[in-house]
Amino acid sequence: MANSMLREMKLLLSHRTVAIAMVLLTLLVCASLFTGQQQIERQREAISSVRTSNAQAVATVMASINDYGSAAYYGFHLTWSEPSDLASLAVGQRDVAPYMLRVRALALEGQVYEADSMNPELSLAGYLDFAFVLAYLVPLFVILVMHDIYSGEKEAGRWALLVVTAGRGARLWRQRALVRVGAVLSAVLLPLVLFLLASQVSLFAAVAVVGVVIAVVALWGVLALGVQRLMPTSTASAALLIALWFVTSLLVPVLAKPLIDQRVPGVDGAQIAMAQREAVNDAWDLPKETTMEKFLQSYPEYADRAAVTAPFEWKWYYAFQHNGDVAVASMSQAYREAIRQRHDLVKSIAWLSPAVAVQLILQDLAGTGVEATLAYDRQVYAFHKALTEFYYHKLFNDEPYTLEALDGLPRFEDIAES
Amino acid sequence: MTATQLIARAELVHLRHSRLAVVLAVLLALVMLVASLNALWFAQSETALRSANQQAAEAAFEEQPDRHPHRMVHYGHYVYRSLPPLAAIDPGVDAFTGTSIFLEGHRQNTATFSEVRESADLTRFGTLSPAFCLQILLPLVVILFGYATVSGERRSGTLLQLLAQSVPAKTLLLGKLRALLLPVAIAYLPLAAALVYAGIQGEALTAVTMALAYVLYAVFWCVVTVSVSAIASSDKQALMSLLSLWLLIAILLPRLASEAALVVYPSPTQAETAMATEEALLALGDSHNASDPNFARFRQEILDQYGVATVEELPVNFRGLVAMEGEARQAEVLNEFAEERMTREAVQSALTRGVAVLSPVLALRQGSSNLAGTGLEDHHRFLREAEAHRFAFVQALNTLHAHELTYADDTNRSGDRDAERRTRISAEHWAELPKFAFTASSEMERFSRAMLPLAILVVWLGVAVMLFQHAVRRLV
Repeated sequence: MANSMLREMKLLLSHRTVAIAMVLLTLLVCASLFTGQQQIERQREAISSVRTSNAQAVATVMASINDYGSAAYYGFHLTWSEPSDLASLAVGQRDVAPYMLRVRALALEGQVYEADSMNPELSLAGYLDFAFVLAYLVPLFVILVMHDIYSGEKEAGRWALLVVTAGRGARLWRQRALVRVGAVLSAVLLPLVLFLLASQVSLFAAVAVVGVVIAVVALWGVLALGVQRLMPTSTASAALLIALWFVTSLLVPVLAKPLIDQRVPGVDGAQIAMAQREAVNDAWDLPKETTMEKFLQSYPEYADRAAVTAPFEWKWYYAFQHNGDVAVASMSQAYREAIRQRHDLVKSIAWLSPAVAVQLILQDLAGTGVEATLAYDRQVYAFHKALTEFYYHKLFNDEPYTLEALDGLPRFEDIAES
Repeated sequence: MTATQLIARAELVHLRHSRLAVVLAVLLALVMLVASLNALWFAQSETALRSANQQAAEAAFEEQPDRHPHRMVHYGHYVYRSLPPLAAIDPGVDAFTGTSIFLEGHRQNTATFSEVRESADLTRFGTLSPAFCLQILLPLVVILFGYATVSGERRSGTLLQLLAQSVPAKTLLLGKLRALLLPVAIAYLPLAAALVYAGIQGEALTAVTMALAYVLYAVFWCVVTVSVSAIASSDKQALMSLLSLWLLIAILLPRLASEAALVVYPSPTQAETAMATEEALLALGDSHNASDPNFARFRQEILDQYGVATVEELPVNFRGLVAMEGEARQAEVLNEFAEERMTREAVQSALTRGVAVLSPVLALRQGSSNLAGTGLEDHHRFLREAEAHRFAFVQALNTLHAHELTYADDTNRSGDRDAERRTRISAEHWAELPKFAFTASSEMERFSRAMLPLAILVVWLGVAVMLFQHAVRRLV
């Protein structure tokens, strides 16, 4: 048994195309791990440097002013979404959705959609991360080494001979399939496992990622064996397998997208920002009592301190900012709901497209998918709520401005953790 | 019927008997049809949506009541990027850029709400645009159609027979090429229809050039496929070589190129840029405050210019003048940052465009998006035009601020209700402000931008022809 496995291995390596393909695959996996790592490392560095510089900027601003209204106006507080240890394997939405956002106590709906200024031409080209290689390219390599397990020998006229000399035919094919699957697996897993060890991810995550790799290789391996029973020649099998890959990996997602967009029409984001703008601006012309009454519906605890006498008071200013958010809250929720519903449909598409499924699973593990983006979004909302409430308390109670009191400002870390 | 035609016909009969080829042909035709219909639907609905939004934004602006003009500066305005006709075929960077910008005083906002954020999971490989289908999917179908076109004859022993019957190798390969071009031509029909549509809309030059570019590209892949099939020793070798080529130039190189661009010329994050911008703006002083020390020299200059001693004696509202001066200084700083960013993006893209020398896919993509007016250059053009518009409308309001209001009223308005009422100017002014209409760069400009990438494509076709000749010589 061991002998025949060894023979198969030698045979495999003497096959020049296969040997080159395995080297190529290893290089590809290394390249994707490297570029993913680069991208996430850039994000980590950016977060840590902005955290420091933003904290300094806030401190400088706070020291230069002397009232809470201005502090709330000029104090931009950083929120961020720290990449997980696995993020470099599946960059997911982290290249298109912002992972840092500075917010202040003004209406959040006017701030939260600020997009990062990325070079759109580079985003259009797409990026190379491990998830991409595993989802789209590894199947091609499996097809390459597995498509001629039976038929290659038949074509070469050695089949009968091999069956006779190796004893039972089934065992021979099983060994051959195992050796070849093993070759692909080791080409992927060797660099991957080294990478996982070096980046100290949790055992669970590492096992899960390795499991996904095994599943992808097994799925296409089994498909390759099945197809060979149907097709007359090994090349015809390869062509059919590539056609299968083409349909499931490229066509299904590309065709599904417009269908999903039709099924769940997106909420026009620009309309939210515009409506919010209208609501906030109209407040300047509304009687101040109307504004305060509306504000008190959210914060009845300030009812006996809501009288506005001067032409301009900060508490009135922040009250109408809050009202602006309230005015578009349902639109804003619908916007997120649409994203969530589309994502649910994408999940059902994954049943038709292993490539999409692999990406979704890896993104879930890495915390870089749509759900993670929405979760970060919720943290930003929670932080903004805490921030505004901190200032409402100071402003409505006319507390004297002290730098010490600002120590009580909410910290994004605390909210992100809870 | 010539020998080439005979061979082509025989090959087509052969392809028709291959179930896989038939299935692929039907699939390709279907995808192209859906892509074209989708493009048409997108072009119509999206164009209508954006122009409706633009009109709604203008109406909302004009319907604002009598107000202090500076309130309108902060009220701001929305501008939408309209789509050129060929964007239906090649949407280019449109899905990644956001389609509208909010314009207001003192700030340059980024384009928000990019489509990709709203549905990212399925767009990793590309979207269902005719451009994507023809750039990425079509070559793969050509390969699956044609990898065995000559090597199959070799396998079954008919190749030697044909050559022995004194069929010239060149005739044989040309016949095979011809057969391969037919299904491709069918895939191009929807594109042709879309281009005719664009041509009617007055984009004849770019439409014809684009059609030509895609035809060259398809011919490139057909020629390469036939040549490799003839050179390869087996079907398998032909298929694997062609597949590797596709993988390398269509999938890997574009991605590696953009990653390299980011490593060589890293972009700062939005948060970093925003902080640097704020710091620079803060140093300019507060133009809402007419006695800000940063405007002391400006005050003296104005007083000298009018030959008066105090701002109260000026025939114009000094606060409005300060608003104008402040906005001008801010715009200078903001433009510096914006230009820096756009220059960096141009440099990053120049790097990826250099890689186009190695990948006809990249060359075609750049040529195509440039022709369509959906490339990086036109995005930057939109940003610059939006900024020019922002500055014009803010300064128009500031001019009203300086000339329609008195300094006394403007200074006392927060304490004196009558003064406050007098600082509200008539809403009729809102409709007189400049209007925004985005104009894509001229056809000639886009055409000349596309020349270099298309020249690279032609060179690649030349390389393919050389490969073809090599294949002919080997067969003889």
